[in-house]
Amino acid sequence: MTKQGVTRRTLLASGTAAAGLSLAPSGVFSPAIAQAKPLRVGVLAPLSGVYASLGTNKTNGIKMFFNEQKMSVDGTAIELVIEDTEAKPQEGLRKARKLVEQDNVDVLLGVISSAIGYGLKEYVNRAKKVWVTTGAAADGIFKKANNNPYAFRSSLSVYQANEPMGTWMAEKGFKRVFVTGPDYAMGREAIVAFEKTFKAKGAERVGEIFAPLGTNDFAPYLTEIKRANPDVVYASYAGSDAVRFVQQFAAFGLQNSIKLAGYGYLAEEDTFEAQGNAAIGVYSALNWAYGIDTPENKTFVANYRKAYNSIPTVDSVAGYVGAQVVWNAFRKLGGKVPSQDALSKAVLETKIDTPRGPISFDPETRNVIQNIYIREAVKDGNEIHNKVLATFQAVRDPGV
Amino acid sequence: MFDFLIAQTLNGLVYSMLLFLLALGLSLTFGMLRVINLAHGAFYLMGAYFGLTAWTITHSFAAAIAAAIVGAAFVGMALERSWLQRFYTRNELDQVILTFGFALVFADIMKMLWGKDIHSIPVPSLVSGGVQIVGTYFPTYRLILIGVGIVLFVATWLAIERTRTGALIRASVADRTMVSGLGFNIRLLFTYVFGFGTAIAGLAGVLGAPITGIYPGLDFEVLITTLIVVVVGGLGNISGAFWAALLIGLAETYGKALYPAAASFIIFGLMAAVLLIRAWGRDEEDVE
Amino acid sequence: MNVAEIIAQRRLAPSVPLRLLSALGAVIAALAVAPLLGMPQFVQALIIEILIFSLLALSLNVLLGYTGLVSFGHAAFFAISGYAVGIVGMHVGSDILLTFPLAVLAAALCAVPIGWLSIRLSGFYFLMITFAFAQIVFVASFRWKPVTGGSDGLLVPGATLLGAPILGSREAFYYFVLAVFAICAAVLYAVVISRFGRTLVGIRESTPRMRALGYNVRRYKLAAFVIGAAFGGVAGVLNSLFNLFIAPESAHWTQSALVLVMVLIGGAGYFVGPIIGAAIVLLLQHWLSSYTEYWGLVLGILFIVLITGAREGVAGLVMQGWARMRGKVP
Repeated sequence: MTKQGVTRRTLLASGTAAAGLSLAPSGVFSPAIAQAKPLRVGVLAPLSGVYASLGTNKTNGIKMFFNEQKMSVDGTAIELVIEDTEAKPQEGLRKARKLVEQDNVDVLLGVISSAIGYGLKEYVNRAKKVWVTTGAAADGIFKKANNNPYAFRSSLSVYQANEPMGTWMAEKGFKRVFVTGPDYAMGREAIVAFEKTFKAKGAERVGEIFAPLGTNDFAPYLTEIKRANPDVVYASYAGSDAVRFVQQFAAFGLQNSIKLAGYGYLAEEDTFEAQGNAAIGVYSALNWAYGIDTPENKTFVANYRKAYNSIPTVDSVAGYVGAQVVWNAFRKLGGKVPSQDALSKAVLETKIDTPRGPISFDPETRNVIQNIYIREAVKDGNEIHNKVLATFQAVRDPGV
Repeated sequence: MFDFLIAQTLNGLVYSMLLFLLALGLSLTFGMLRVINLAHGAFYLMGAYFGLTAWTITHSFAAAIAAAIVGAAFVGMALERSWLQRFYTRNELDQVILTFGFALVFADIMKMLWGKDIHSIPVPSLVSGGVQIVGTYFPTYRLILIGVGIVLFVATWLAIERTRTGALIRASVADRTMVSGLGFNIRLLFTYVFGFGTAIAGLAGVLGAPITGIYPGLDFEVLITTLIVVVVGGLGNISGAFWAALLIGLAETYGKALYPAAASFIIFGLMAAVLLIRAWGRDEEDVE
Repeated sequence: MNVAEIIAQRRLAPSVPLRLLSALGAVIAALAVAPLLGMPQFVQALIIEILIFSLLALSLNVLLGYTGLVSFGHAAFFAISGYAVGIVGMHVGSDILLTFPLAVLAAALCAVPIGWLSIRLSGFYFLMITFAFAQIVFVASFRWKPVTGGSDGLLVPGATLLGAPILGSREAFYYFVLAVFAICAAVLYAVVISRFGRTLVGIRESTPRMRALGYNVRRYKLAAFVIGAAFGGVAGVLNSLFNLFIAPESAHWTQSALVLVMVLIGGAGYFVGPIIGAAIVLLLQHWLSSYTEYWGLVLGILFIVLITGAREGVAGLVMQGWARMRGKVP
């Protein structure tokens, strides 16, 4: 459990931003920083409501990166204005309007909820403001057909994350899968992507169950799963659903006889504490893993743990990477934003190394091209973390 | 086929008992005090959090249960004493707004104290295994929950129907002035009853924690379901709450297993149907 | 003199004091002039949203304040018309002369069976059944992906008129909403001070008496329900055309709760109460959440304080304060 005393409204840094990542009160620039107008980054994240913990992790990642850069780029100061979307489209759009029209931000960063994503993509096209999303993973938001110059996704698409898993699981020798997930867009899209490649390799699906919204108890489904006798269960649950499903899967004795695999959120750093030993051995696919063995990632993880006294999650990384994209685009333009079109071009040309590996953008969809990792949850001392079993490089979303 | 029936019926029973534990407190509070407590879900979550803290410190499930009951009862009685008492004569809508306000306040306070992450309490190792029942493996803990629900139902029913205190409570409901005129301290009685209701909610929270998890937002999720059970069972009717919980628990479980697509509608459709059937044929007088 | 007139005379009717009404008129006039004096775009957006939710709250008050029917499912109609605008716009045509009336009609038509069934109950049970129906609408919009877009919501095509896009600029939309709001508020006002309106009040005060006097109470309740739904539908159309987007969240019970709270905080007993309430709740929620993630705490405290001390809502406080200032006993 983490507590971060945050003054969310505006973050201004003094020129002597501490390595300890403390937040300076809104204040004065040190004379060392140039007199150029500061660049404003508008951050949209759910800080209350259903996705509150994800939103907090995300903004932590964003803040951490900008603080590492001493809240400046090429001599120009950077301001963050963070607003709460409450994961509600109405509020999300309202806050976006505020950031764009009242606060005159230079770029929008953030959003987790896909519903907000759909609405916002249209808005930024009308308002002509560059937006880099760190969430909003629904497949339909970034397709060739609705590509527009202002909206970018630096996180992932559900399809992109799940498709490699099908190939990998089939090659591992699994033949009979029972698929399950929450009955809404994300849950279904993940399954569709997985099944496409899994079945292409000759494996088969022996059953499917999509749990209606608000399912607290998976017992009826677990009974059905047992009867179908698959060799693997592929699940696309996230958040509290993921916690419950994995726990109940083990409680009903399925952990020892059937392999459990899923979309990365099923077994991620934010669910492990509650899931406990039930999570051990679960395979999952996502664009990051705690255990990625690169200096970049190891530094990131160590710094995050020190700064926030909590374990980074994929959302923390998403925020961090989004901030990297924006900052690098600023730097390419010399620390200023002459126009949104120039910024859009700079973001499109992104080619950087991140804790998740190298990333770039697909010009046809403006969705990120990145590595996808197949992970397994393993015990690591007192904790449980994901270690990498396989890497799929430069995965892109087909965009159709 | 047979093992399917056994398995799903057991699943349904567990879910029903959890629903009953929730509905019991709310129904009791309404029946005895005529107060609709929309903060009821908050007490469920509160109990789970108190239990979580106790468990984190002592690693004892029993301590968690004790903490949940005592904590929820204490906060409940404090709420009743300090605020709710003034609202007994106010109309229902006022109580709804007041308790809703407290629900929001409690929700944020819990977020401040325990954070936003998802937590859980592991099932006590003594009962963490399972048993084979006619071919299906069933977690022991869930079987225990069924037992707890039934025991609590019987115990509460006996307490209300067969003890002196129960008689006192029933009398106060029927005629408050008379009972207090006879010299009994009605105020204290009501405080205890309310505290009992919230304590049960807290107990449900900690017992349910290994199954539902503990996180912000659970309070309102649980509240909705509880309201539905209570409405179907009849406000203030304890046996009604029990049978309604059984009906809804089993219907939802079988619904999920057989017709997953329609499952979401079942619970609301059921409530609407029950309400309308009750209202039908009655004259236009208020159904209250 | 019939009972409704007696009741009205005895001031048991929700008052429409001239002062508050003229204040409302003045505010609308000021709003009409403001953009010309340089009201910023974003403030215009806020005003637009306040007007939309005020209309929604006013429509709920027809049920709540005037007829005494406490509905916990009013957002359903807001959502039904909101979705209808999008669905008609996408599949038939985005001409506003088509989408606007069709969407409002959709809300009103759905209100007929829902209302007909619901008014057979009252009090807490009425609350719960309206809640149940609204949740069914929510689940339907969440699941019916081919039609409603499912959990991801629906993009709403911009309004057009005879082929040409209209209401594209913020200012144009602002005036549109202001005009629609003023008209609807005027119509609602006319409804509640009419004989029909006073009959509703009579029903609220004592249903048995009205029945004894020969009024077909059920028919009046149903009419109130449908009127409330229709105007709630207008708000829904405006909302969809403004955001150019709608999501299932608009039908969720928390949205119904929000509208209910707006009415009660503003004061159900006054015609302008819901407007005040909508403004307060919307602005508070928006401003507070920029400063703290614990805005729920503040909102909760507000409810507690208001319901304990200011039973008649903010409008009531204003009236009492006014009366006190003039030396009269409130």
